[in-house]
Amino acid sequence: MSKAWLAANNIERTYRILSSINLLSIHAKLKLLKSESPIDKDELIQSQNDLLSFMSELAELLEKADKRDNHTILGTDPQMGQLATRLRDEITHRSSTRHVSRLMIEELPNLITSEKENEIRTLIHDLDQLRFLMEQYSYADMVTIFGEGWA
Amino acid sequence: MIVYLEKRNLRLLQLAEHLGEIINTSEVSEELEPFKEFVRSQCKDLSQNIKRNLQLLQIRKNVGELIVSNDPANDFLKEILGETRKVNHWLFRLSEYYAPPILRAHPHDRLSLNIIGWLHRSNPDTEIYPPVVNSGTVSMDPLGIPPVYYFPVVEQHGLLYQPLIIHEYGHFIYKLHKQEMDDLVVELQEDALYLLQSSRYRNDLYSSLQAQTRLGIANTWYAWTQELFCDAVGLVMGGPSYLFAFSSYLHTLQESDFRREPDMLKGSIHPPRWLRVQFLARRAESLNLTDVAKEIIGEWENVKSMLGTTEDYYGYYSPDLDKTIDETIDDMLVESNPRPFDMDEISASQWDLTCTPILLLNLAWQIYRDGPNTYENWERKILGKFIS
Repeated sequence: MSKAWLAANNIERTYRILSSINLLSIHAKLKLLKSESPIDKDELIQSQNDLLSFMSELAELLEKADKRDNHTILGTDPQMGQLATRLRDEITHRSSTRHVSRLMIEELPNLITSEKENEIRTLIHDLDQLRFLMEQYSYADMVTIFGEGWA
Repeated sequence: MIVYLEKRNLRLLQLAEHLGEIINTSEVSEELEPFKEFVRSQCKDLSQNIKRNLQLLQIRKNVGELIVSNDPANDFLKEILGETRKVNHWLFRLSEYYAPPILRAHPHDRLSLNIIGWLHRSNPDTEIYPPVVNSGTVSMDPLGIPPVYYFPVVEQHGLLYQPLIIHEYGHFIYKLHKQEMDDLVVELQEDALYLLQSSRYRNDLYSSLQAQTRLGIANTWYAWTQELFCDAVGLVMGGPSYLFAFSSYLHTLQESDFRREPDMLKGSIHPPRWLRVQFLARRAESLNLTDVAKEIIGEWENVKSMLGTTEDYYGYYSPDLDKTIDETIDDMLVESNPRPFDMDEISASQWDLTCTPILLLNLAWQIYRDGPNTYENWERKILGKFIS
């Protein structure tokens, strides 16, 4: 195992989650536009499951860390720990403007399957915020694996 | 942007289909055939994903003309950009990691492929994954599942260092049980924080620096635990052959085998080798391999004494942690359930193609240790059976 190994594992996870976010978001938007979605139903369910289990893993890490005296995030690879820390910062400093918040994590399972227009819009917004968070933090790992360029 | 993404996806589609074609027409050994089939189906899935991107772009074009307003919720170009990035990465992974072991396959791969295939079949969690090997530093490809195992060229041509593959297999089973394994690491990390730092706790300006150091130690132990687990998998499955291969291959006879400066310890992935040897030897004794354990420890101690070096882990390790670490590794072994060697496999004097690779690897070390000069002839005959 190497540092690149940990980083690459993280990239795989990030791509999977980002793709889940994208597919769910496209599907939600096409629903609003009343246009047929070309995304396969099984893939949609897989995306929902992947995203929800990822979010619940993050929430669990934060919950356990809160119970520790020093609030240290343990029991995961350093990359996931960094993401959880970033998520905690978001929750602490920006939750009032509904950036990534605890409320969002709790509401996501219902929003994902909702047919109500206002909830679909909330879902689209939340997915957008999550995408932003994931893309920001994954950059360092991309550099670790791929360097700053090929040439 | 739509035109650019269309062009990009069309180019990716050409490359994915070309890759599928050259994989399809390549000739590989029977051991590599399942992996080739896997890559072929990956190429097909990739092409389908790219075609869907093109379909989405077409929908976006149609919808855009009719409906798209200033409402950002109506636009999904950003998502298509993300999906294009995904297929781009997917193609990179296939072309850089998965295609070379097929397109540059060599008859000598067959020995390692047989061993990896047997390891995968030895556990229900891994049996469905096809074996694959490429040349390189002993390691496992980090991208995706199934993993590509890397093994150096000369070592790949012989039997003695093949047990090191079992360590890499340990990383694979860790990955498959990641959540449960990570849960087990938490307790160890907490103990490490408590035992290694509590006596030096301060409550002043220095304390925030101290907190960073504590986190650094905890994160370091995340990776170290996994490495010690993989060593334990190597020993439990491979028996003495793993200890001999590990000690012989990894001992560089340098001071860095025994100690590292704090900067080199922080965030490092592998514990100092001498520490790994001691953990392995202790576990070997618990498996009734006391003589082998003593021999290895003796060799390392001799070198250590000749180099005149002393151990110092700068707060990253203390023997107080041994019990917790050993117990954590024990729990990880229970969780992942690697197939243990049996006594017949480490004491046999004959091998044929119906025997396990574990028996063969232990026999190889036994013959090598009995007579290094006659070993090569024996090994050549055995390898002939794999490569013919």
